[in-house]
Amino acid sequence: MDRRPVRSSTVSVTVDPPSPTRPALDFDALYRGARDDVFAYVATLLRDRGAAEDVTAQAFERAFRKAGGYDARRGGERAWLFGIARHAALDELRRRKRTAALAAEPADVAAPPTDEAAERALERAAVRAALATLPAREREVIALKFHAGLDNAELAAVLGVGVSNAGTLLHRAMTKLREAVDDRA
Amino acid sequence: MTAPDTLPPELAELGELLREDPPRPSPCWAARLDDRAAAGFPPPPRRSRRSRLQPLRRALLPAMGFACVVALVVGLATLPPEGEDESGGSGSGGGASTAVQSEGGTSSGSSRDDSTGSEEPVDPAPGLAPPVPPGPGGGSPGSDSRDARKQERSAALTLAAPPREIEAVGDAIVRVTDAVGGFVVSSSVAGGSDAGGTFELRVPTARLPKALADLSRLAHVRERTQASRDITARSVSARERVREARLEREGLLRALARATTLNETESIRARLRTVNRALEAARASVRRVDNRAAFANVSVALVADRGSAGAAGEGGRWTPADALDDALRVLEVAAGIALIVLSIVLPLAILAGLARAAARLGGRRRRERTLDAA
Repeated sequence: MDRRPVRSSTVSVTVDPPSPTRPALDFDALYRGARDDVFAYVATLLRDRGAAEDVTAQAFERAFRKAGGYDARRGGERAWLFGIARHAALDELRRRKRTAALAAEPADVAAPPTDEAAERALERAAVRAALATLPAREREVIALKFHAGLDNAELAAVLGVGVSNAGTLLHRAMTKLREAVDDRA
Repeated sequence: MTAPDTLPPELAELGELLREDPPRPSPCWAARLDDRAAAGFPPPPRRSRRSRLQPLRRALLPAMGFACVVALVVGLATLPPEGEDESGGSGSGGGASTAVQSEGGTSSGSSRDDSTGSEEPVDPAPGLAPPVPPGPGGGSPGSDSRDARKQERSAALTLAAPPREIEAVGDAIVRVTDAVGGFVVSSSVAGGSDAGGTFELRVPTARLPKALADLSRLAHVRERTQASRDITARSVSARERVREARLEREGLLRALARATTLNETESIRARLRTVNRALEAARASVRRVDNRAAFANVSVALVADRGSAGAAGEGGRWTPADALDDALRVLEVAAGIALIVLSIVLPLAILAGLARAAARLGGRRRRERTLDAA
């Protein structure tokens, strides 16, 4: 597992990968390191920013309440957190049956207005649009992998499948995404 | 299909584009969530007391029901099984239950034959000591002149003593009987595992209270029953027969003195023999009635007190062996209660576990179905 820099608008910390021997959960560090990732995953799954905000807050609250019951032997912190977020998101899906499309992301005003950057932005928009057309199961796998930054083992833990199966699901979802991008081109 | 952690280049490029452009939360929302996280996610405004108590009540109801069942089972388990005590009585065990039973009748002039000695037994009150032998008599003791009336008294005692003291208490019963001027009609004492005994005593009626008091001091009194029966009518009847027989005998004697012929003399002598036998029988009847009034029947049942056997050893001392016995008994009772509770709790726990597992599985399937339908 990689040590990866955490994307956060307010705090920039490096979260160590979860160790099976670490007895206690550092919830504060986990929150700061995973807040935006959880939101990205939930927003991709629900395709509704308002619902994603609610569900993300709810997921962190649930995680905070359950932090005492966290067992490092049963999986990493991030996998545990994204499992909770997944339950909250699916509960929300079931309750509200929201299918609204994800609102368009605001333009990156800080990006340099070069041709290369514009081209890259167009590609990202095409991928984002293609992603929105995929079924929820594929969207979820892709969001967990590329938005939440989980490796295949953590992906498997969150989805409740084997590691090999998780890799297969990911490959299949990415292939579908490739096809959707090509179809829209 | 293999499942590597890395993707083919064309898919990895898509992944890079995805990584560069995740949905980002609004700074305003992020700041609010940061504040809530810093505050430890304070709970939402409290609901009303009634709505807060509703789930608690729902959760407590089965628990209270279960607690009632457990309390009932424990209560039943701690009750001594019926018939365990050798006394077989229903005494409380904490003290003697005394029932004074008196009966009176109006059978003066009764034509019953005293020589049979058969009296109708009187049923004691339910749950008391064995019935006292005497039966109905005549008149209420308090209804007329007490001095002139004859009373037959009886009593029954159930004494409980530690098994090792049964024989000593038996000896003491005999000593008390002798001391009050009474005698033992019959006795039976057994030692060992079936320790116990029975005593049929006759004590002077005038000293019955002292005899009962002395006997009661010998051991723990489980039951005590007293009864009295008015036998005035029988006494009067017997004495009347004696008087009539005497009068008839005197008349025959006078007739014999006047007899002149041999046949007449023989006939009167024959009648005299018959009257003499009747007179003797009537006198015996009077003696029996007087004896019944003069001596009271006392039945003593001596039983082994198993409970005190464990508590007090030889000579009433509490020895380490007694302590071990007590400890074993406590462990036995505790193990029995635990077994009963376990037999109730275990199936419930298994059912609860299965229900919980089914609920979790159902919830997971519902979520997965939601994901497929989305």
